[in-house]
Amino acid sequence: MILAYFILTIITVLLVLLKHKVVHYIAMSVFTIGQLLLNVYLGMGGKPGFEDYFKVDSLGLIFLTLLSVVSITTIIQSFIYLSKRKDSIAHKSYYFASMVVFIASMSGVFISDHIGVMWIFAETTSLSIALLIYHERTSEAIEATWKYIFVSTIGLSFSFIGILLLDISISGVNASMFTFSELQGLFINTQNILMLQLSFLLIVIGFSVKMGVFPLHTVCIDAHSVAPSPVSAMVSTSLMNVGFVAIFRFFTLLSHSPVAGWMSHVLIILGGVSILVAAIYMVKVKNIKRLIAYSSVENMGLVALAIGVGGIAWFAAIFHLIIHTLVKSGIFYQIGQIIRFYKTKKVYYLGKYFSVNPIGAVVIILAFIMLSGIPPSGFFFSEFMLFSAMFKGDYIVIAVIVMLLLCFIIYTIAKYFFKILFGNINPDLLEKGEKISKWETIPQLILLLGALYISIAPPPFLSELIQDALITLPK
Amino acid sequence: MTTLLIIIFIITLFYSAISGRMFTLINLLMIQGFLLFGVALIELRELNLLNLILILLETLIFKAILVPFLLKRTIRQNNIKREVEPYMSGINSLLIVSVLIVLSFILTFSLQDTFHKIIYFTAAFSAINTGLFLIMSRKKIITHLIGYIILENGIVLLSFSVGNEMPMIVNAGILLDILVSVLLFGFFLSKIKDISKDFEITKLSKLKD
Repeated sequence: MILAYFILTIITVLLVLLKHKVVHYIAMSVFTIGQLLLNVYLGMGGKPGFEDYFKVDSLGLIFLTLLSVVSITTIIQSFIYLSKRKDSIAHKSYYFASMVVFIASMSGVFISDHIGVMWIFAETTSLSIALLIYHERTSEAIEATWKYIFVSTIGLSFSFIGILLLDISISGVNASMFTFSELQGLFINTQNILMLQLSFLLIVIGFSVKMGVFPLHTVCIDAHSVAPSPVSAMVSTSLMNVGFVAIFRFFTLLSHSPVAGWMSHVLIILGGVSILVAAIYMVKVKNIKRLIAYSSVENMGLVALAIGVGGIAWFAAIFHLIIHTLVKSGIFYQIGQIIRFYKTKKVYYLGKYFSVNPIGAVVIILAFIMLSGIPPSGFFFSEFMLFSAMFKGDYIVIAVIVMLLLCFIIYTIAKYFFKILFGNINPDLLEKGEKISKWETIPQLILLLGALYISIAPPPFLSELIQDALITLPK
Repeated sequence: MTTLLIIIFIITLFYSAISGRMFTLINLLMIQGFLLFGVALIELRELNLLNLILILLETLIFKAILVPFLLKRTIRQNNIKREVEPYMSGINSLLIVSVLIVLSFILTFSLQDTFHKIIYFTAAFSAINTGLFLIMSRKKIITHLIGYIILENGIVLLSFSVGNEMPMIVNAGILLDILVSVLLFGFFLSKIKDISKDFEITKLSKLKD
């Protein structure tokens, strides 16, 4: 099945590169159907094939499903985005080709079991996203793309070193295959603690470029601010999930080893610093997309904190990511419409959006409610679980500081979002903007309402899946 | 024999810290490529033929010949100034690189691994540290690329120490190394010219808050 999927990917790329408009529609629809078929097949318990390299577990399945949902809406929004620009047909072809490779390589990360294969797919995501970030061909785009490729390859080189060290530390044990499922439990009695610590540190620093937490989050934010909005939605949700899945798999692998407590501390520090950085930089941000990007950094910081704290917070981390994926992609599509209407990304020139596009404004309000964690929002439950786990686990000081920072962040988001909705701007600016069709907003509303539904009444199979994803962690 | 090659490798790292000219750095990259080729030829003989040929081709053709050639061509075509333009003087760079290499020794010895790999470890960590230092302390984008390639050389050396057990992961790393370098070279060096004639990293500072 996985072979068929990758063959489909290659065929789609070739078809898209034929540079014909109708072919684009057909190829992308076929690819989307293929993505959904793969997802449904694996969800029904089907075997992916190549057992040495690929294996589907609950963690992979949750994030693969989220990726499929977001990729449908992203492809729709991409067609809308490209139809409003005067790019040549070749330019659009490159966009779709890299989009297809990007989605396929992220799916590869979620379902691969072999550590080397997972790393290769992670590296492929950074190569394929380069062209997407570069799409608008401005000097800012060149800068962001250069920084993204350079820093993310160096980061992933670090995680490659970490993986090599992990391999060296078990060289006496003779694991037949270097996979997560084979290695599970091999590290219980490891003597060489420094090696494991170094290995985990390098892996976390390397994958932080994907997950968007503290050390290497900066390139992620630069990429957000210049990439087309559908691509930003993808970077901010699925790509961050890629980083999370990679780090979480290594965390699970080493969670029975003597370095477990040390790993928790590393993640708590990184998560806390991410939230601090997000809170500080949000205050002086001028670009609306950078604001949302910092919000993603803050949420990923919360997730890293939750992995470190452990216990009930592990459940909270995955639940938080599910809600975050749905909400954040919805916001980014909406920001794309806002930028198209006002023709600027500067917050200073945005305002009175409620009178311009009421449905879009509803999306913004709904997104604000979800992001700020006002009770029907899923973030309320996940953050509540996180903080109660922190109070139980003697992290009270950190919990209080993080709560204060969160208040600060919510205040900033509210300030900017209400500036967009009701702020005063020159009325001449409003008349020049182009009309935005109501139908474009439907996918965003569906995503946000889906998030709201999962928050209010989480389906039972979802919590079973999350519990199953956590089954190998210590109780 | 491998010990000798690796010692020469570490000496090239010292030399890269003080060299003030771009072409010297590129020649050092070439020497490192040949050294890696020698190490692979001696150490990885037990590997199956296909993997061995891939690794040898990568180190010899790609690292020792193609990359230096491409770098030199880029410099000539774009009339980049031939000086490295560091943020600090050569002697300070040398001191810092020496400290980094000593730190690599300390790190390796505290890792308590079996002894025959220690030389690989030390050289690899030294190269990784030196590469990072070159990236941080030099102004030109092309020097950043050179630093990245030195870092990659360190990783290749580190992966040789597990090469006999894990050929697949080594090959994967090497192939992606090639892919990334080609992408960085071919595509972006030609684009960055549009915003920065002299390929200086200080020009890439538009994106900030």
